[in-house]
Amino acid sequence: MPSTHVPVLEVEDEDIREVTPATAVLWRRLGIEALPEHETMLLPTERLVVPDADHLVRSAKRLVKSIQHVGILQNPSVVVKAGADIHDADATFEVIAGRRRVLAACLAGLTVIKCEAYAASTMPLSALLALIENEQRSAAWVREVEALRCLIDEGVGMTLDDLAAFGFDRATLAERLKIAQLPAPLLNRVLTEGVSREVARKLVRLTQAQQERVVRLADAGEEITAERVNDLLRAQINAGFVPIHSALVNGSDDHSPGQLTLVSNLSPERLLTTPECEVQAGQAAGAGKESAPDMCPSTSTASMTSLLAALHAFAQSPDYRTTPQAVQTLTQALEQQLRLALREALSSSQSDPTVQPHS
Amino acid sequence: MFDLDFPKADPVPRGCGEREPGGVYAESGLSPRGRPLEEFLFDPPLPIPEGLDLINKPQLWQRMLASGEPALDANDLPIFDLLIWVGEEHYPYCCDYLEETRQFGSSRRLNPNLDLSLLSRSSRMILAHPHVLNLQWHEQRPPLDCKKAVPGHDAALAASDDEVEGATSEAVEEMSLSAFAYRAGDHAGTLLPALPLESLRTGPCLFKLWELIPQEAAQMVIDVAADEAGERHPGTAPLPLCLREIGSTIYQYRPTGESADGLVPGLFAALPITGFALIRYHDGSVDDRAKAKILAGLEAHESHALPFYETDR
Repeated sequence: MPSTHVPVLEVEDEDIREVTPATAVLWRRLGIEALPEHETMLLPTERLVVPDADHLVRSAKRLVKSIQHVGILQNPSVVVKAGADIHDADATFEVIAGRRRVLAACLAGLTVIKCEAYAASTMPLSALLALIENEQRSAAWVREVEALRCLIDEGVGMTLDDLAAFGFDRATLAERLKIAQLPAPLLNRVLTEGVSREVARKLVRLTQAQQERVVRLADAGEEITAERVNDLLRAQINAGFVPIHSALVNGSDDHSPGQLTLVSNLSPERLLTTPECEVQAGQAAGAGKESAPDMCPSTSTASMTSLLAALHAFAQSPDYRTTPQAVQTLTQALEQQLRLALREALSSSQSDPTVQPHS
Repeated sequence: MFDLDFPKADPVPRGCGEREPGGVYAESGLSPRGRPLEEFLFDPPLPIPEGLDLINKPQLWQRMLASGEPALDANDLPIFDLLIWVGEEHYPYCCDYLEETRQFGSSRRLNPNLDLSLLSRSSRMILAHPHVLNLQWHEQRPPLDCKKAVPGHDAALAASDDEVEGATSEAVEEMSLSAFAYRAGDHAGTLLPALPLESLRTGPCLFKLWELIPQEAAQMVIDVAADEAGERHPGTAPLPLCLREIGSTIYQYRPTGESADGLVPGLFAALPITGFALIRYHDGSVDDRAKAKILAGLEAHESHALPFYETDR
């Protein structure tokens, strides 16, 4: 393997060097005095090992386009394999944070990646670093919203399609865009007051009048909590349901349990083999209802029943399978329409409406 | 516990395919003593309440009285309804779903994480579809047939007839009112009380949706000759009879060729729930979590609880 020149970049990371007492306690619990030595390095992809790569490839593919366009914007964290020095030309590194980015970079054809290379690590430390990075990224939606708002304010004529070309997930982007389009006073609060993404998503669903109400509440010193926004959203949706709920509430008083059903299909076989009245009365009793009213078919329904039975028998016969598709379709259509007509004819003989119609 | 012979949906292949092992389904079964499907439809369809995130997210919603108090069932327990999105990937047209329900009853897969114990016999499946609310209704002909006989639709028919072209607005109004009076008289006392005259053209008719399905969506088109009796809008050629197949259902419609571009999401039905179907896995078991919740519902709602059954399909 040809040796690769690995430039080492100097690190000036004040954030890490200034250890707060709380951080010091955390380090001690992890069995370390401080973060292990680490440097920003350009590493060949062939020397990077990605744990569980097989499971991550699919989700990594989403990042390929954006990496092709602008590269990796946040360095993955890697730790040198045990027994090696980070400056050894043939040292290999395990990725502990940024596995998808590294995989996507490989898929995008990058041969070298800028990484934060740690000289040593322990399992708890690796886990903690991964956790910290994910936590830092979990707040990234706020930055994305800010960036989108900036694009909107600057009048940049980009469409969702344009942005999707960078590899953004369309649904995620659409969600961020909606948040970015919140009225300015509300958006400012979302961006500066640590409003969670979940609450922001619900704020978007409020009408403009409700959003303005939230602003007024916030101006009056009320905190924008998930519960508060949920209450407003629920009240708003309930207002939309008023016509339905009123109709249902009125209707539900007029029927006994079990009567609220759609009128049924009538099986031609059963109608053929059993006298209609008995079958229907039996079905009604079986459905837990009072005895059926007079539902004996009239002469016209009897002829429809005979025709339905004949059609059904034809559809079950060997001859049917050899008929052209058009005939089969027509037969089925006729059978279903006849069944509906028969059903309507029989149900119209009942005079005990159980449901209030909706207008 | 409960009588197993309750109305069930037919386990036929549907527009959304066959029911899947382990699935839990809310059903609106058919019964010989049931009521016509039309009585459970919203006509005109209703807009989806602002802020409701319903797409592909079946959810429970507590029913409220206009006063803001919770609606209570026969056992004084709060009533929850199921809100369900009928996706266009399986049912491109709302009519597909309605005709399937008319033939075989309704069966909707539920997220087993929902608290099914909250549902009772008072609960409904409130259905939404992406193409149901017709924003262009006022520019189009009213449907040939409003199966709910909403007087407003019928009255509008006269106003939009070609024969009244050129008539003064007063004349059109007079014709509309007379048509309204006539049609409302036809249906007086059947489904709806007569509407006040000022409520003419109350909104888009749900039954217009059948006419807006394009002819190309049909599996079979039967041309009706001009001299044959066929359904038609006044002053226009007979409409072709189209047969459309969706799942196991074949239904007919007569396209007018009018644009369906004005169709937006809306609520179109509130079907009764007759029970749950738990589809068995290959080893004969069912979704235990869902079953536990349904059993909890049986205990909570007693005689008002929804029954369930286990089945292979």
